[in-house]
Amino acid sequence: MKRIHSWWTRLRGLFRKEQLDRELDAEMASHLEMHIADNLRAGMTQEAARRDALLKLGGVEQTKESVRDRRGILFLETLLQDFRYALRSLVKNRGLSFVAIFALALGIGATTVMFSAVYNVFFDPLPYKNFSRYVVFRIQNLANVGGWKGRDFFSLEEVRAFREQNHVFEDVVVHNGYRLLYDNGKYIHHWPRGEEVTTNTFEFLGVPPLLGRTFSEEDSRPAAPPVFIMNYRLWQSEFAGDPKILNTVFILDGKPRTLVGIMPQRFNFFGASFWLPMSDSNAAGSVVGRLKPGVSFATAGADLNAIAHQLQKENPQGIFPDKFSIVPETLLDSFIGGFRKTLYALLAAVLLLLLIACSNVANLLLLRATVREREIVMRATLGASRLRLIRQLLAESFVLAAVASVAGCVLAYFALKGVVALIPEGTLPEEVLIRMNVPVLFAALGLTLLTTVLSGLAPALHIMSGDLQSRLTSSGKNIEGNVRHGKLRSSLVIGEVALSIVVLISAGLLMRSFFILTHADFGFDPQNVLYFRLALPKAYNTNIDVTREKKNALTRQVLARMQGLPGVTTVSESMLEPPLRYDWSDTIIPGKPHTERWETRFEVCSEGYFQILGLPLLHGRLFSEDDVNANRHVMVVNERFSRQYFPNEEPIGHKVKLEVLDRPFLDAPHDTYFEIVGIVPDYKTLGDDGRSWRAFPQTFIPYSVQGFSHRTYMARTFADPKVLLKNIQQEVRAIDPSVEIETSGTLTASLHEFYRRPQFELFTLGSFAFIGLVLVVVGIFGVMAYTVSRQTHEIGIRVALGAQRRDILSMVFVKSLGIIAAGVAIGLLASYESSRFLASEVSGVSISDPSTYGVVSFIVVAVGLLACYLPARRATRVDPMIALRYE
Amino acid sequence: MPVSFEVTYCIPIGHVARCCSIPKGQGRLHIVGDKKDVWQGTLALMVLKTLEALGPLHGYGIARRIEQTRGDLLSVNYGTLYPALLKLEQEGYIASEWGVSDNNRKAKYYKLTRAGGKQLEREARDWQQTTAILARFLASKERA
Repeated sequence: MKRIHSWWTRLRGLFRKEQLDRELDAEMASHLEMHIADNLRAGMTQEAARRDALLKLGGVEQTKESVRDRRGILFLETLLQDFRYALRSLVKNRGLSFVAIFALALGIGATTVMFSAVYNVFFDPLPYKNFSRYVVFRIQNLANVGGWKGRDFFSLEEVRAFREQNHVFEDVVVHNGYRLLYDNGKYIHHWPRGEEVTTNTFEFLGVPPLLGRTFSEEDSRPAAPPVFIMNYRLWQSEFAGDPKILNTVFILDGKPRTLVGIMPQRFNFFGASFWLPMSDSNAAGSVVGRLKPGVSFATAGADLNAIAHQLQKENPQGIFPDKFSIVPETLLDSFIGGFRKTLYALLAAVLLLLLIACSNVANLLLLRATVREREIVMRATLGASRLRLIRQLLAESFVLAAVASVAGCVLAYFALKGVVALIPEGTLPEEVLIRMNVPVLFAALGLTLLTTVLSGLAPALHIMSGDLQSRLTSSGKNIEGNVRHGKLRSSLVIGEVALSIVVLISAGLLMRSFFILTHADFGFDPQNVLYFRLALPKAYNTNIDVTREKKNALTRQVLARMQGLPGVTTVSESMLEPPLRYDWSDTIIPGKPHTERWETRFEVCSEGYFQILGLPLLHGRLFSEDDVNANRHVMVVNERFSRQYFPNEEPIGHKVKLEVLDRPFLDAPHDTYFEIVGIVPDYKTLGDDGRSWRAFPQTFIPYSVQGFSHRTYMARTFADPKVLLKNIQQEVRAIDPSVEIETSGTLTASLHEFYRRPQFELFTLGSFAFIGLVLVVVGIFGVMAYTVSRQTHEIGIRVALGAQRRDILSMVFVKSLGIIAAGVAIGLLASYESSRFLASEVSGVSISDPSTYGVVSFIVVAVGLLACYLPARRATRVDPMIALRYE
Repeated sequence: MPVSFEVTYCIPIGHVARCCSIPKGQGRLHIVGDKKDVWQGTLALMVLKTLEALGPLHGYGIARRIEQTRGDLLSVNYGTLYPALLKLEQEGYIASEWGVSDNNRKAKYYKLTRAGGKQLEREARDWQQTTAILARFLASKERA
């Protein structure tokens, strides 16, 4: 306590200096007065009295000094002095300070942006209790050939087995997608997808409701009054956030249900817009488990694997691939997937950028330190300790870094909004909020200290190394010192150039890859094609034999009515819309054994599909409306299919089986062979890497043979898609009022949405690369300008001896070209090594693409030389008369 | 003054204080060196005692009083008093206030605070204990 009090008053002493000094003066004066008066009374002369008083005191100044020492905190005081001095010298060199702060602010700002993203996405993404221990899992088919890839939907018995037999989970919840129709009294419409969840879900997640209550166990009992909970978004969008709707009854799927709770904004478990209770005895669906503390993923996987294999043994009729394993995944990974890699790559890039900025500032400080060398040497000679001088230089870089850090944070605050807006929807779960927060600001503070050390220490140590004394005695132009500093400066610039080349090449590769992606020729025209899918009520999904015909009838009617609408040229029905969505199957052709997987993309479609994509018939015939109506097992294949599987044969007349149709749970023609009747040209669909367009072997069969697929309708139109969609909705309602359009859009719009992800990467990395280039320009300019100014004398002599303008220019350019070339060479080598990490983000272009490397090198060299232009021009204007006198 | 594993004694010799530490159970003196703090420490004690005895007083008065009671045994500059006063004030043992002296001069008066009173008691007790121990020790040394 006493100590705190003491430090507090001492700390205050630092800031009340003048007042305290005045008081001390007065106290000393009164002391002396009293002493002198006493002495006079004792009979001394005026002069002796004064002398004695001063002597006894031990000197006014000495006393004051010792009081002052005690008053503040010496260490802090000199530190303050350092900062004051640093500020003064930075203000004096405004240009240099501005450039340094600008460079650092860009570096720190960009790093803060990426750090905010990484922190919020990986460390604080979900508002759920202990979310890092949440695990989702699925059955993964291990077979190389044949079958489906896996599932994460589990039946009643499977859920019960996982729940009761596992040794790894504290608790599990089961959830299952749910769609329902809401009757608002005027009309009936679908709500966005919701979920049925076990009643422990909300307790499991540990989030209290915004209004009302969450589920209790009673809610799932068969006799319990039906209830539901709504999410914030639905509450806002449909009911304008009216709290009075709580505890009122809604007509959902034709039955009354009471709204008992509304969840807060940051609660969107599995993107559901509402939640219905599901009883434990009735729980089927996907499972989320919370690991017991200390249980690893591998343990969990092995435990669940054993349970799943036991289930397979007990129930051979169950839906299991022959060879499978359980693949566990954190909840976060299941949401974010590949975006993790993207963010880390961007973070790496931004750290390179920060390094460039630091070496830039180091360079500028070094440059200035060289100018100030005499001053520093002088101070050292006058008794400043090395530590004090280094501290002083570090104080300068700290002040720079601190100001830059504040500017960087302001920059980051705005840039972050832009970056967040660029992140494509659906990449991150809605709960993730990317924003500046306390940990991020702490990180920015850490960055400030880091940049201080990175950018300040090298120049400080460098200038302080060696024998200071001898430098004082040598003349103003210390050749040896110049050479030493020159080398460090050049290597800093070389490093900068190399780092920027790495970032630029990455950006260049992304750019080329993006260009190739967005300028692909699909083999059909995606313009002016509207698509939509229908949400079918339960009546279409109960009895397989009845519902297939019911769906087909609906499809026929919808197609006929669409065709009759104004502005529509052609219409079609298919499973999915090209080129982004596709389904595939293993292919079996009798008499053609093969060991590798024959993956074929297939469509179940109407006869109009070929017209709408503009695929001409190459050979044989297309299937006709008649084939479709008669559910004939006919098949059209594309050229690549024919080339790949029938290299030297006529494919028409052969029979082909699609293995996917054999899945026991599908309403599809099991074990059925389709006869190839015609060949159409290839068109491109999304490659397996998700980043390129490729032609695959493809087959087309009539939609009418099956009842399991999505029904996606397309219309080529010259009408406004919005208006058309409204008309179609009316037509569909006229056929069946309970059927509704679920998703809709145009092919071009879905492509643009798809491009947003690579666009995000390109934009962020591209900005980093651009900033890096700017910093390099500043770096080169700084060094060359300084070099020229130091060489004024030499240039003057050369000019006096008859050197031409050209000679001087080439002298400057050759020197900078050397530096830039060295940087470019190192950068290219480093890029060659590091671009491997980009391989998954880049497609259609080799990661060692020579033209990208060439263009980037050219740009850097050109920009670098441009940066030398001003200094070089200044060199040519040197007047020999002035230069020779210049010291 | 803490008496623990190692006992430290401080003896004013001339105007320099020497500090000695004696590991328990050993009879040898280790001179560990001069300490300016010791003079400051005893000075602080004297200041507190003076303020207790005379009530609020200015720096010059305190200096004179200490000089008188001490009988000029140690002659020290008055100036060394002021950092000590500042330290005591920072520690909250004394408080200062501008006032008017007997002969109508403006002067800064120091007075003892409550914490200062307690501190004085504590210090005085410690000091007495220390001197008692030291006296006993020196006596035993003579016998040996």
